[in-house]
Amino acid sequence: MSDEASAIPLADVLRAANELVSVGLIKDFALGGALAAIYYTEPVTTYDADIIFVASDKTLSAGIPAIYSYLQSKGWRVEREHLLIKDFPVQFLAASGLTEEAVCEARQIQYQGVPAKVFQPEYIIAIAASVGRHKDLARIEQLMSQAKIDKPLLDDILRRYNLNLPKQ
Amino acid sequence: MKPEFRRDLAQLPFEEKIRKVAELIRLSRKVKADRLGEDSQNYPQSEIRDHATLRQTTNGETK
Repeated sequence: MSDEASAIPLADVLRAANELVSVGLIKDFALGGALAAIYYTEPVTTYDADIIFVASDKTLSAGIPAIYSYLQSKGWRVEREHLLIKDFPVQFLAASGLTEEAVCEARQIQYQGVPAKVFQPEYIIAIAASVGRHKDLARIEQLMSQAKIDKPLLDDILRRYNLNLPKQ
Repeated sequence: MKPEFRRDLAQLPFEEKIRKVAELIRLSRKVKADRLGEDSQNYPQSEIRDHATLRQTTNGETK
């Protein structure tokens, strides 16, 4: 991949997600995963973007085939579980439970003039605690040490979803 | 890296941080490519050495 192609086309990703809302394929979305964490922490290496969406289609497929078709018609490519824009992989993940609440409560941002939402750090921590991989624990540690955390909000989310933070 | 420096990085504007992530990806790919290049240069050498060792051992055993 050339240097130019390996840039992260995040504005294009967010613009496309806004289009999916406009055409009614999804109700709402927010940036999640590592890129959402990076909004609050130091930059770390990540190879994809996670867009967490609230589905318009509440059937089992959550409208994912229609989302793929729409984005492919706009020039996106499919590679395994990712959709690729300018060779950058993006995962569209249907929200439910904790992640749906995280989308609804996400922070409004503008990225290169594109309106979008990004998960609040308390939700990123709770989601990481629920997944519990090594990289999720590292993400929790980073957010706790580098981001401003609303402790009562975090405690409330953890309590309602029956989650615990890893022992330090 | 010192925690203070990491906290300073965390305060950068998001767009700047995304540019830095892209730099990290480029560096990581370069390191991987360099390592692969080194391996492909070294592998035939080690293979030759291993084969020679194997031959010596086999010869030693058959003698």
